[in-house]
Amino acid sequence: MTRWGMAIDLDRCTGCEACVVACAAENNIQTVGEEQAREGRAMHWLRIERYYEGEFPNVRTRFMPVLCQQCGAAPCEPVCPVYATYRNPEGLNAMVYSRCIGTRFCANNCPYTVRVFNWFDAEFPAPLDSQLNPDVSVRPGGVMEKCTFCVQRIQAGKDEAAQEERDVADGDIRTACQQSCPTKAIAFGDLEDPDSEVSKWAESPRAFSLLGDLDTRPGVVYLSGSEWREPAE
Amino acid sequence: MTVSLVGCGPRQNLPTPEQPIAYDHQVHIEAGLECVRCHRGAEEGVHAGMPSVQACAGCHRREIPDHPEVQKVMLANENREPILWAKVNVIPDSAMVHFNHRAHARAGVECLTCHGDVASMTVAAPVRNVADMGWCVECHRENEASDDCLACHR
Repeated sequence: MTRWGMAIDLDRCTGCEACVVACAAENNIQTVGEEQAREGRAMHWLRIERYYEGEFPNVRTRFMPVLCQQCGAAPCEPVCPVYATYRNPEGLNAMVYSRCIGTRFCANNCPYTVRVFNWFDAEFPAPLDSQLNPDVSVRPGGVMEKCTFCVQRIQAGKDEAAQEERDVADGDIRTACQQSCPTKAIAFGDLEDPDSEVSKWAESPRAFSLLGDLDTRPGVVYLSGSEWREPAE
Repeated sequence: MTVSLVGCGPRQNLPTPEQPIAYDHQVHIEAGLECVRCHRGAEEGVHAGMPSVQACAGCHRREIPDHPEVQKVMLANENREPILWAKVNVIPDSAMVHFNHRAHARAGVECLTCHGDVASMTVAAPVRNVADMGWCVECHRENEASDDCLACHR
């Protein structure tokens, strides 16, 4: 069985936000504009959190890409009244847009605040419509969305492997954020496979889970060698 | 108990779209062509696809070039204009389904399972509502294909 997972090495992350851009392009994420962003309605599936260490002038900035943690015990799932979000057999916290009725309970219950809501229908005026990814649906207004671990790439990778009559190999499937990362700070793969890159990273003594004490059993593992691990309350 | 909803049943009245050119599938099949000769992606592509105007014109330069419907093809080819064929089997965008044609071909699903006996149609018409999810799921379960939502909806 597969358990898709991701490991992010924070010691490599420079906070360049290439992943944020790649994610938006790959997943047809709508741009809401300044006014809506000010209302807290920006729709990124992946954001870079900034934390500061030390006292001025000896300050260091730490960056942390935060995306859906694809929790093993996801707080968002049991609150959905229409079963639009559920745990799929491969460990993805699935989001079925065509089922979602927009109660926003899931976003309310997500401790990572990584779910975003389509307050309006997405607009991609020409020629922007030409750059939409045909493998990803454009979500209509009134629907919740979030990081899918680039499920379209997972499906394509499995399809490619099946066409070539072989198993999916580690490294075949790369998420958009991983692909765009200039410092190769992101590993993606099967956490059940002990030889996969992501499993090896996850075994590092530097590994930790975001808000680990909540026991959400995230599919995303962070690595940091600094004394800083998570922002203190 | 069976509940039938308007628009969801497999045998609802499915509209046969009007085509820009009176193309006849039966004639082409009788002439010895196979489905994949023109729908080249059907077995190896995510989309089955339509033949290019050049592909039509390539054959018809030799075969009945003077037929009035073929003339339309030749004209489109000369003008380098695409022929805007109307989609016959439609999964609406609102379903947010990403159908993979080659995955179904690989699993050994025959063309006619979904498309009906197109080989004997003079005008291509839908015979099944291909957007009937119950029917999709039924077949997936019978054949032990994935019935995870993300297999199709994403």
